Amino acid sequence: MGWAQGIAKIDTRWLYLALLLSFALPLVLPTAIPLKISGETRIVYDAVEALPAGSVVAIDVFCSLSSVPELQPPAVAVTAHLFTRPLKVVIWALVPEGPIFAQMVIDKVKPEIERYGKKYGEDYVLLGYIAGAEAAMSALMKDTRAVVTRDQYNNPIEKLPLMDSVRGAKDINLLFCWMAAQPDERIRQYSVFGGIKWVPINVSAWLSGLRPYLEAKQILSFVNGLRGAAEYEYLTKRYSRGTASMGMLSISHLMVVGAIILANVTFLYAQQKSKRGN
Amino acid sequence: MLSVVLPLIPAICTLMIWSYLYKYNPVFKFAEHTVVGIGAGVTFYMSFRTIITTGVDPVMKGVYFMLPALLLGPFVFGTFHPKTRWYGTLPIAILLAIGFGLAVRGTIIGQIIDQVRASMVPITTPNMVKNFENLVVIVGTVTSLLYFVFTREQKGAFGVATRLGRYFVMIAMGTTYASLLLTNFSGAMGPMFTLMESPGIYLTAIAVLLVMIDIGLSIARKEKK
Amino acid sequence: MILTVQAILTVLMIVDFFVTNPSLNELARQLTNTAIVLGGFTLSLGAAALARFHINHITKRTAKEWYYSIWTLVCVVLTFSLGLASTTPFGKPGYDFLTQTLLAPFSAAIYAIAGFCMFSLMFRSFVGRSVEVVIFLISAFLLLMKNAPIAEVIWSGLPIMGDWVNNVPSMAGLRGITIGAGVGLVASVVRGILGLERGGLGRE
Repeated sequence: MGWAQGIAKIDTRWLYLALLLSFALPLVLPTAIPLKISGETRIVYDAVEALPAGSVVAIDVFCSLSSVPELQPPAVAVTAHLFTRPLKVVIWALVPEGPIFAQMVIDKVKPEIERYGKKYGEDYVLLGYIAGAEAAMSALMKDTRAVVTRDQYNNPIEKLPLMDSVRGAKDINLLFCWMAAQPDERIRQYSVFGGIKWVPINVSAWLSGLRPYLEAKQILSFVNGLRGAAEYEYLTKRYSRGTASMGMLSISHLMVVGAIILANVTFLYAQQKSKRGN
Repeated sequence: MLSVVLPLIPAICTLMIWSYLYKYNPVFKFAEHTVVGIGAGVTFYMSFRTIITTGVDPVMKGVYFMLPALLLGPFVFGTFHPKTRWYGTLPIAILLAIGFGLAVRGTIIGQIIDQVRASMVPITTPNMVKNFENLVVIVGTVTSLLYFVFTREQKGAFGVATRLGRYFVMIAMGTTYASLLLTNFSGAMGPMFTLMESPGIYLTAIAVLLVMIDIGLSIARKEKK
Repeated sequence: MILTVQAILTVLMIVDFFVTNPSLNELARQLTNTAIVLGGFTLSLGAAALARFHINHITKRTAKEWYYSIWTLVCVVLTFSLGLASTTPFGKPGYDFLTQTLLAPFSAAIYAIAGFCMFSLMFRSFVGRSVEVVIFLISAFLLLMKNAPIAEVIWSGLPIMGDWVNNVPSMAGLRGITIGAGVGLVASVVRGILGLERGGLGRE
């Protein structure tokens, strides 16, 4: 069997091993790689910095626990930034696993919560899961109190002082969405009907898909996955998993490019060989 | 004891699932069923909580509009049996109708009008590069839309336009695929931290040893045959 | 009758947007809240279907399957019970353990397997057999280089090219797809109002 055929018929487990090594190598031999901050992440950072004291920031959790490795770093980076400023934060989830993810992020930003003296019920609230997807979004934009009667911890909503001033879209100054799916529903309900400036903190799968909405000014900007997390951590000087992942991101991307090149070289070689044979 | 075992659990979970990459095995199957069970339990709990907080609570406080929903809701379980399937379709039809209504009114503005408006960009600005880019955007948007018109044979001038649209769609698919790849790789990076940092790295070393032993035994078995 | 109800409610929700009438707007708002409660019931439908599937395995004693099904149902019941108790000091540690310590790493690991499978798929099938595939591969390569910090080290032009491809031609193609999807959704809703769209109700 020629080398080209050998490579084409390689056991899939060798490919898995190669990919695993490309992830492991940067952790064993960490190297600092310069990181250029994208305009999109900078817009988000500047928007948070520009919010006046007392502004209400809403967070819509729309991702399952499988997105934790990719969305938790940017979510933590942005949420930590929100808690360092005199802002009010309201978090709701539109997927069943969302409240769990929200709690995990809140646990990670506990140092900021304690350092800046943020109080639950006054400075931040977790509303828990609301079923109905687009119907829930529409209802939240019109009248939050009609939809949510208890928070994530089963406290009646009347007992949370922050919720006295957050009734709907008109009370929200900025909205983040931790998003692992398409943004269409949110464009319809938040951008078109709510008229809210909103920012997806998205998985990288939507890096290209969000572009039409950004160009149409239907979203303010976005924070894109692990790369966005690293950039935001650099801006807030709170270095964590995002920054630590950049080595793995780089080497794994080079591995993909190398694999595509090798696959095409073997294909062309095999094609040429069969032509010569004919 | 707990302080030793608890930090190991994420690594154990990851290795149980990733053992599938070596070969399908009972450990993976057990982990798979555990995930499915816990996930279903979370879903059950969340749906129960939603019904109580959004349905039952308002009714207890005198807002009776939710009462029909609370009475109709259980009928969805009628879809499980052919004889009772009819009962399940009414609540689902109501849900679909409300969802459709909410979706379409936003779609016309958000996905059609706003997007078309954003495509109307000037091509006669002083900046030649910007003019070129805007021209590419206009041509790309129009031709990729034309590509999806299948009610007419794609030949002649129309065929040229649809072919160009096809290329734009392939560029979009290429970037979309790369984006998807990014997400899947990013999804693998989190577990890698678990496996390569202490204390997970000790379990990783044991797992690697077990795999090498299994490979050695299978080679020995092959040679014996 | 069901299709008539569906049509009336759809039209009502659409008209609510265009008409300012306090009674109509209030009715639409209450209907939206009703959808949330119905959404809660339909959410449990999937989990109930899963439970039914596993109970079937247990009653039929399906070989190599029934004991896994018992374990699955044990997990469902345990998680649900701890969830109900999760707002109490007694239940919270247990629910947090099941969800944050078990479910989160399991879910992440399962999702990661897709990345490995995609890599293997890509290696075996992404060869430049035609012009379209070559365009596909080049745009994918440039987007990867836009995202990887190391691209800037290799050549500063790579991320710039990746940016341009993502922001201009790719965006144009995706905009066409987005507009097409929007038109398709409107067409689906019109079909729903006319009673021609019955897929969601389990009919042809």
